[in-house]
Amino acid sequence: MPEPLLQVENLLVRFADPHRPGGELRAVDGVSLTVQPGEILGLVGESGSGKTTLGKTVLRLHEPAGGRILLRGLDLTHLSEAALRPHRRAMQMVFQDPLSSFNPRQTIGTAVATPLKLHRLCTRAELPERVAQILDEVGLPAAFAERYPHQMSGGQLQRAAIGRALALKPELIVADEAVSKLDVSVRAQILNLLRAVQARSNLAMIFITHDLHVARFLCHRIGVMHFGKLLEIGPTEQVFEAPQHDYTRALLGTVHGSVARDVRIPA
Amino acid sequence: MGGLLRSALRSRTLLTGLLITLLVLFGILAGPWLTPFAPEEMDFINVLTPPDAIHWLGTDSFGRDVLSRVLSGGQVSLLISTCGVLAGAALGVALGMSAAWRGGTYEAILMAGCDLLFAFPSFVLALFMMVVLGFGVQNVIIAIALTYLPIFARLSRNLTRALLPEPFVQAARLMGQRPARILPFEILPNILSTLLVQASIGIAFGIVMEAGLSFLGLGVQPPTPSLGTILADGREYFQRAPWVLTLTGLVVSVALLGLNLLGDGLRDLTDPRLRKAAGP
Amino acid sequence: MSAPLLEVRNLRVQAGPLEVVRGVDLTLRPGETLGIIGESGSGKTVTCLALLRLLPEGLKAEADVLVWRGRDLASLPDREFRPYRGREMAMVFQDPVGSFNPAKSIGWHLRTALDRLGAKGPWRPRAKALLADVGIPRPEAVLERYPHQLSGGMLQRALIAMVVALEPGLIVADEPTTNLDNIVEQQILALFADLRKRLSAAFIFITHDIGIAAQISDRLAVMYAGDIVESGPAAEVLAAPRHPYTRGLIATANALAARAEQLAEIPGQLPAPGARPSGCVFRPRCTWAQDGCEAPQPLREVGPGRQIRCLLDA
Repeated sequence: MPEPLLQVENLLVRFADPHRPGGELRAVDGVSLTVQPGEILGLVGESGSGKTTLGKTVLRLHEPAGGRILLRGLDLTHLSEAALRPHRRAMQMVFQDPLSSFNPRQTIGTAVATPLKLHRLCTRAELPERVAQILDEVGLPAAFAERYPHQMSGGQLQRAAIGRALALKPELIVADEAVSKLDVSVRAQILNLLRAVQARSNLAMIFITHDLHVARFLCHRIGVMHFGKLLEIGPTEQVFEAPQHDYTRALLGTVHGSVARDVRIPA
Repeated sequence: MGGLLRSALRSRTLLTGLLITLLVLFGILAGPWLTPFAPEEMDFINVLTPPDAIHWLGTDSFGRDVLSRVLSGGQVSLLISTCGVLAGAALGVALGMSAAWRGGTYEAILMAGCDLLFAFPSFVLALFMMVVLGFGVQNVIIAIALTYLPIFARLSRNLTRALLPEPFVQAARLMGQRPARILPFEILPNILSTLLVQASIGIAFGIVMEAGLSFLGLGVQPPTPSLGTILADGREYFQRAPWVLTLTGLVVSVALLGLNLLGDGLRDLTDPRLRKAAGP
Repeated sequence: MSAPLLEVRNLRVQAGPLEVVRGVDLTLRPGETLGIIGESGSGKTVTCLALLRLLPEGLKAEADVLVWRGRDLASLPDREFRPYRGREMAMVFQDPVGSFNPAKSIGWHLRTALDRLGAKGPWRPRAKALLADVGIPRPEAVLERYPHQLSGGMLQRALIAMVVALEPGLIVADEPTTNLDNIVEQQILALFADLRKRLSAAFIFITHDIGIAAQISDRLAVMYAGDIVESGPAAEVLAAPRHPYTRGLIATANALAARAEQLAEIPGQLPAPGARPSGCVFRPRCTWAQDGCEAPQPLREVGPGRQIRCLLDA
């Protein structure tokens, strides 16, 4: 087994309970998992299961209350925001809502150029060319650099968001319901794109989704979350064919139960 | 940018506000050349004359042309108010945004300080500061700034806090942007429109505040004309020459209306989400 | 064949100069379920809101023919239409929260519905029975609850109970499971399947998910950018889609289910409202686009009850 890219050990995230003053909610409750380089790990579960919180805590967008997060063996758990900054580049995120993941006052070109400038990944002169190249990699014409977010469709914005994340050449991308707000006829394009860029650059990905079909299509391994706990984790086929936990069976029942998706639609 | 201009031309609120404000500004700035009388020029033959073709707003008890004095005094009042509000806004926004970012004790202390200042009516607060700081133009500016500091601090802190969980701010953090870059470049442009509206309303009320303080004799000292000192003069002979007080007050109201309309129009204009999408 | 319950010809909805829905025809027979498939901006929701005269301000609907149980509704003034809403045609929304008064209990809502029906006798037993019928456990306790105390799934069930209480002839369900978790979604779909068997009402089921539409519909209508592009018996449409858009949707769903290396994609983007191309609206995304597609396409009969808006295989 090669060294894991990401190790999460016994992670705990607490939030204030909105329904009980002074109460606490364990949004993530003792989760341990690893992600290998170049692997897509799917996190599935229902709303409130803690899958998004887990993804954001791995990126230190939420503060963990306990446990450890290690990136290539380096403990990120207690690094200060400033100490963390140099390591941020390795881990990027693609958000659910493509519109709000861009500053409404900035053009897409500025949004893609900012990380390049910040990390001095190219010279000022190379910048326009590099931005065009990044947009091209995600299937957008170079002219889109001039556009503002509200002038683009959801699918186009999600392409740009993937491009912006890739600009930093990260090793891990957390994709949080990255296709669920997109129109059905556009989802397939983005899923194909994610799979293509992942394979091209040997990226690791944590793919958070409630859509089991999408998880099964895209992910190498699947983790099932429920009320903050990771109920089971394993290779996709194993989880789908021989689920260990009753809850997983119930959840997967919704896939096999929906005959139309698997049976009535002919190939 | 063509789209921006076109939206601006379509907005009646903005155009009306802009027109009034420009007219007022023009009058104030070009005042000395527009009227044939100097604001301090006394004429003891024509004392307290009602408005006529020569003296549009009449004359005061020293025979000085009230219009010249209002235009010249407006200049002083606007300058004082603008300086005060801008200083208060700059400091308030910096404190408010940093409070939202850092949170914790820092935020709690700052916001408690704001609450304390909010507990007093703003004019009482300004009066108190004048008493502490002493009289004079410079201190009126400081009093206005300190009155507006907590307003801008709280407003910008709330606006910033609302944006912090937005994905685009989180994306900026993930890129490794420092707060010194995220706050002014990612967040400030998105809250600027609301701050601008607040500032233009603030300048309007700053003028009122200056007028009030000078009216009470705490601010600008005679013979320098400011809206406050003119109003104070006018009050003394209101029975004999009511036009001095009423017409000066009317001019102030029109200027305030212009600034408020301008603020509202600016808010609508600077928000691209409120503008019609330019299409793909 | 029984007389149609609802017959709509050339329904158009306009938002100022924009045509949101352009000439939709619908025929619904008693007990039938029509699935309307469409993405955002397809006009599927607006079509149904227009039927119930629930369009938000700024939208205007017109139809050549709008006949409900043999009665012409097109010329009926809004005041006289009011008794039809709820009693004859009812709607279940995507977000059930908005359908409830947050300050009133579930029991109050059901009692109001039963009062409107003019039901005699004590309301409590009937309300309990209605809640039990939609699969709500311990209905007597739920009657005392307030909307915010129920989960999304339970609230959707309670809303369905309210709708069912009025015994309408048509129930329109607009993405009723989109905001629900997978397991609850399947339960609500099962509830709809059960209602279809139990009630004599017809259903219109609006969804963006072709798999869900397939589970529940007798007939399907596929909408794209304000037009119906394909309609027909559900089994036929799913087994042999004729319009390139429907073909694309089904190919994607199949590739996903089969875990293909690459998903079949429909290229391009949905046209922005106001930027719809002339002629066939799907043309810029269509692999089969050819000469003649730049002309507006009529909805063509291609089999019994089967229509497509495309000149393929013409």
